[in-house]
Amino acid sequence: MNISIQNVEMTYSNGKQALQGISAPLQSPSLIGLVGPNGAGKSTLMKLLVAGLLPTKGEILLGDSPLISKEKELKENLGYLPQSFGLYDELTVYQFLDYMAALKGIPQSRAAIEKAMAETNLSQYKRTRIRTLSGGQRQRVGIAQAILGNPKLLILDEPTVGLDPEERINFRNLFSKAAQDKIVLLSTHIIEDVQSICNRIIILHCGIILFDGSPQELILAAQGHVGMIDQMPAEKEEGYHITARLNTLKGVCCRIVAEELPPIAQAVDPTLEDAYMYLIAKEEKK
Amino acid sequence: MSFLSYLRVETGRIFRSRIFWLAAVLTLCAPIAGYLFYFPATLNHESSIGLWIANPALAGTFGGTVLFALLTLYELDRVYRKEMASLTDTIVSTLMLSSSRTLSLLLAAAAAVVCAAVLYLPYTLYRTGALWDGGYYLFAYLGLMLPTVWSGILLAAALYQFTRRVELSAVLLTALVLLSMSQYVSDQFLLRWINPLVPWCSDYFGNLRVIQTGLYSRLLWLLLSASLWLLSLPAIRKYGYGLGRSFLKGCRKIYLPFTAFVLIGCGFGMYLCQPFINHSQMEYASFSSHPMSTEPKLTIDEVEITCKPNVMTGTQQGTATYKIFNLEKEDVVETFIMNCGYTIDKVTANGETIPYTDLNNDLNFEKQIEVTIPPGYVTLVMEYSGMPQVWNGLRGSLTGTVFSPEFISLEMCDFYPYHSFIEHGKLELTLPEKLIPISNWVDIEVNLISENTDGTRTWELEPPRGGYFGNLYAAEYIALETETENISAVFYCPKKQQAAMEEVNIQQILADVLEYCSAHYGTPPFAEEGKLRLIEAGIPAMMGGYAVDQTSIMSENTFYEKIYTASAETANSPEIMIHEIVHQWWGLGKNLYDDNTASNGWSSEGLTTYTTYRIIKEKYGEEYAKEHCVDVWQSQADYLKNNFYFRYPEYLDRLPEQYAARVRGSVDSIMMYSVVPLKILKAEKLVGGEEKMDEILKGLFTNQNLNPITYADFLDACGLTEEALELD
Ligand SMILES: [Zn+2]
Repeated sequence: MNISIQNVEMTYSNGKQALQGISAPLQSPSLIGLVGPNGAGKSTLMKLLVAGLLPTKGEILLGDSPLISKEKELKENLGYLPQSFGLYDELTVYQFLDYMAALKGIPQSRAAIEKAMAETNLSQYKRTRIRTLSGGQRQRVGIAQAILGNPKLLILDEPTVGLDPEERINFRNLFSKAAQDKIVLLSTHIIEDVQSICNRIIILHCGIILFDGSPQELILAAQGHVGMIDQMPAEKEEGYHITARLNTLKGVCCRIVAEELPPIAQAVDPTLEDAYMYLIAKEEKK
Repeated sequence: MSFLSYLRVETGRIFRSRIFWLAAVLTLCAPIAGYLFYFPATLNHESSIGLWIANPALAGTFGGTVLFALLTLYELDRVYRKEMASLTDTIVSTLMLSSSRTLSLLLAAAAAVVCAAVLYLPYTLYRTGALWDGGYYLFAYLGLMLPTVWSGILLAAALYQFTRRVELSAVLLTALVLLSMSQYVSDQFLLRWINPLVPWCSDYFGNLRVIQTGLYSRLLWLLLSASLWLLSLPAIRKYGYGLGRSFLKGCRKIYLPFTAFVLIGCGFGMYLCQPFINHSQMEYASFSSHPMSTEPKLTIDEVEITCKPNVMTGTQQGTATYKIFNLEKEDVVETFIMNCGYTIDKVTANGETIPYTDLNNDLNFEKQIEVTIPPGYVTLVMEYSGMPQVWNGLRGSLTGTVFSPEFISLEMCDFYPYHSFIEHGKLELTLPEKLIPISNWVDIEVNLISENTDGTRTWELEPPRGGYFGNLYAAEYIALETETENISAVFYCPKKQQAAMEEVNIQQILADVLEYCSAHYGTPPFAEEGKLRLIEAGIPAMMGGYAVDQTSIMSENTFYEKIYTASAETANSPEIMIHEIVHQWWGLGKNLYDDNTASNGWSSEGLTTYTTYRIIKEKYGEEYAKEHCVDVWQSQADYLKNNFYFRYPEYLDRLPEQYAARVRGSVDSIMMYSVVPLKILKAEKLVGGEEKMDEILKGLFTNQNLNPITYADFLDACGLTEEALELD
């Protein structure tokens, strides 16, 4: 599967410009993390990719043809988890997945449903009415319907919201496994989610792509811009961002990113999160 | 294939929804309203079929349609409100999913309606007993209720898909319901949506016309709602667009708007070409459309007619053969009149096809056909066929000429293309064997001439008056005889009704009325000649009654058994039946008429109504008579006094024709049936009581003067002035 985003702009009818001139090729297999603060345009980009919206300008190609002309092919190969969604409360988990399997036209749906339930740890809730599920369980049902039938394109908008840390790790593994033969596009505002599994990160900020590359490249870009300082600065200093406060034996220290590290700071190796913060901070300064 | 699997899971989902079960259970309860307070089918005639089948089914129709329309709005809206659509719309076509969702609602509604029909079956069987009519039951639930509920679902879905707003859709649906129930459309069977027009139900004479118009109107509404729904499919929002852009994009599936417009076209065609009601003006034209030429250009010696009604379809096919002598040396254009529903299939003169013109100029019950007749002796053959139409003025009651398996009613222009010059006529009528024809004219004999092998019998009518065949009624009649000291009477009623009639001793009631009138006023003109005939005509032909020589014809509702069995407090009044028998004295024995009848209301109806009241008073007591006669007259007279158009008739002309006709008609009938009886009642008090009044009336009745009794004659006989009888 091969998707190409070409100079896509998206302005909503209320005038809000969500995306400005986005371009990116997506090829399988890959696991792409789409990262950015809230309101950066992640959900909009995902809706464009699932043909829930049409771009104001530019185009998205599926293979060589415009996505819109291949909607049927797209729908047949798509697993999508939107950021917010509803489930039919009156159905049991199995009935709901059976409903979705029928919509997706999955042959041998029973086996596919059992597999999806097993992978999302829902097998024990098979006959439970959705009405009685917790928030995290509902989110898992949402993921289960997305991976149902092993689609070639998996688009997941903030999939791990509402899940406890242990479940998050499970799902990271699941997505990473799934990405072996398909495109998995995963949006999050928590860099930690994508750190260990993505082979590619796209950082969106205010509707433009700030970065598109491997995690290593992102870290490399922040090399020399991350440091530690021993104590809290007395007053707010211009020119750097605190990314973390750590309790150490010596007391509280701060991890900072800056274009130019202050002399009191001791340079350290950036983490992915540092790199991300550095990039965003740099952009916001502009 | 995929659509079927969508349908499977959508239907499965609907059946698991609590809201669906709520709607379904309430729909199952809705017919109960038809037992308790919703009585649209028995306003004119409390028949068993009306009470126990039509009313509950119509209540179910109303309730089920409202409930399923609301369920549809809820179901369609919830996928957006609760964001299920954000999951489903990306993996399937919204068009397919919405279609299967609506279709699954239609299936669910069908299940609910079938359950209702099954649920109420035992009780209905128990209540209707021998009058049970399985075909009508199926019609009521599957022919009226189901399509109406379906159209409600389609309309609700269409409105929602257009507006994407529940409350706006609900408001529009409510407006449609109110319009459908308003008086503007109350007499138009095609325009009534949620409350199909069922003006009567017949226990004994069949319901073919109500069934036909009911099914026709349901088909129309299904077509219209389906076309609106199809048109709304492109409007389903896509790509985050609003109505306009979604619709334009959706219309690229050109077959959707195309099919929708084809269906709308069919609907319009059905509306314009409905075969049941003619296009006459609504006010009865007192002049006939048949021109009476003073210098005849031809003579018609004879007409021979063969009529073959098809009782299953309600149509007839006939051939009329006229022996004509054209006195002129050239072609003469002659006008025949016939029922507006018939068409001429072929006209030949001496074996050669000749042209004719169907003027389609409906007036009252008939239209004109112009035929060009060659000079000399001509054998003219007209072949005609079609379904007789109801006069537009009676479109609200759907009564008139009818061919049905249980009952046939035919009037002058419904037999054949009529012409008033005909010297002699003969008619052969082939009917199903159980139907026995009776003419309203005692001197028109109806003779059986052959029993056919196909289960029909052929009857022959030879009237003494040219080509005029009067009115003919055919049903499974039996004759019940009544003898009193002076008069004998025979009552023709349907065989099915015999037991009920004998149980209430109908013969005794008839005898009482006949004796009362003979004793108070004298023997009626028919007494010397023979029997008085009473014919029960089916409500499909008419409501009420009329009288001609020696014969009183009354419609089925007049004879409704409850009238006679119920106690005085609760009964419907038997007054129509008594009224029509009394007409053998007032009206036929002595005619009452006046040059001023149009303004003072003086006619045979006044005295007939008064006499009816006296008989009712004697039989059922003073209190009953006051409640059912005097109080009714008084309230009608009060209504008239307060009626704007009665006080200011000049404004009447400013009303649209059909309303003016209705107002005028009701003013006339209130004058005749309520104001004049009140005046006679006042006269009764002024002359010194009932006995005095009876003497005066006897004097008027036995007076040898053949002129109609005028209001002045009556006042003279009472010794009163016009002013003395003015009402307060
Ligand atoms: Zn009368």
